[in-house]
Amino acid sequence: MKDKDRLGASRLINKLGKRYLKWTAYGLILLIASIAQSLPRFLPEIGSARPVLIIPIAVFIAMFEGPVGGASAGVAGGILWDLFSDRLFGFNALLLLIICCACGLMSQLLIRNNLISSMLMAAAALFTHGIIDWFIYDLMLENDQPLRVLLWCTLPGFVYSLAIAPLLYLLIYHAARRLRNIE
Amino acid sequence: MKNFIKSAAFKALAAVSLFLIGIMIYAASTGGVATIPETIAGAIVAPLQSLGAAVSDGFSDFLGIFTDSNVLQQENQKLRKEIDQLRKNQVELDELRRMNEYYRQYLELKEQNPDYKFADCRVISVDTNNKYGNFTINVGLLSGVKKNQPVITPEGLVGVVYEVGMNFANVRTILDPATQVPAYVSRVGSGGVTGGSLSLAKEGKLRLNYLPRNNGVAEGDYVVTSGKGEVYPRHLLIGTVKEVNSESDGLTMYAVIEPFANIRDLTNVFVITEFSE
Repeated sequence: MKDKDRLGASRLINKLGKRYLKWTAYGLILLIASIAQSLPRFLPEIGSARPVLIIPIAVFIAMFEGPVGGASAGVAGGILWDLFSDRLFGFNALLLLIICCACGLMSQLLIRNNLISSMLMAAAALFTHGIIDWFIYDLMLENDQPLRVLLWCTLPGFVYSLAIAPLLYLLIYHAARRLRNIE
Repeated sequence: MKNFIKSAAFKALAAVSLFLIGIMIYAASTGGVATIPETIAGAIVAPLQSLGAAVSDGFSDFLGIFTDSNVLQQENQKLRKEIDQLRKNQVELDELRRMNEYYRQYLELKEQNPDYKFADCRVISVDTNNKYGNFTINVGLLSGVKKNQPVITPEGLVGVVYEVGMNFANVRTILDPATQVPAYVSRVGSGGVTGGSLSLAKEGKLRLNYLPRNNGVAEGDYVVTSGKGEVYPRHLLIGTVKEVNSESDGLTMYAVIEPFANIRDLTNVFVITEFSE
């Protein structure tokens, strides 16, 4: 009996260790993405558009891990983004929590997780975040040529981020599959 | 879906959401000092961001060896230094000429003022929204940097610190409409306040607003800080006048300024942590 208990305990510790490994790996991916997207001379600018890497990555994690995992990834990614952004600290974290939770729920209940559905979810997430951010900060608060901001900055950034999203999906896909095999 | 809403996980997510809203409210009330969670996270992430920026800059410079001619690059740097010195000399002459007319004595604008204290820093991050080139530097409260301290390069003023953590600070550039710098045109003495706009920021330019109608400002004049408001020291170079136009109300005029510093391509900057007037 005692041997069985020991075996059960060690299995539980093993399982927990592998789960921590999985989330540590996701955390590192988000950390690298947040650093990469804000480095001054790493990703080329097209006009004044810079790609956002955190939103697609958090959405893809939500597609694989469900609403709770997705929300956690959204909060972590949002906090890392808020550090070096001129938005109020917590703004992106809160938005991404809601968006990624919704994406995770939809992937569990409504849609299948494949490249096309993930791209659609990423596009919806990028668009939603971009519009809310534009509405609050450029239309309501700053009000300096908000239509131009939308056409010159927000929409080009959306297109640029979406163009890179397939590569990010492949990264998360392989990471999730490998981590699930380990788990 | 109903099961998820009733679950403990959903309640935990709702609690996290309320916590984030609380942080946002607190962040809005701190007046530019980073919140505790932001400070802790920044203390961990800022060194990694600095490392990433150093690697990225090194790689870009390495590629530059192959894409640009080395000889032309060195000659270009030498000529830029000469032009910077000539510009500073021109501002000093204009300043002396103006003050002689009004029988006052002036301090000369020096390249390195002995009463200034600087914090040398590196640009480690640019805002992804990036409409106005706002960026983050790798120094903060631990290096004596505080909110509302001016940020410069050897070419001229680039912005002001608006949020500061322990080892990082966020800088708003002079292209941003929220950054308003009291300034004047050195040749004629006409004063105003700088401000940005989106359309000008795309061209890397800004405005000098509230110029009087008979201001005498012309293209090519130099714009410098006036020192009013005690945020920016006097005689910091800002840029050159490109054009002068009337405001829509017809009462005042404004000048379009091209900054001396290349706001969109900064790597190393200085924060003036102390100066005496």
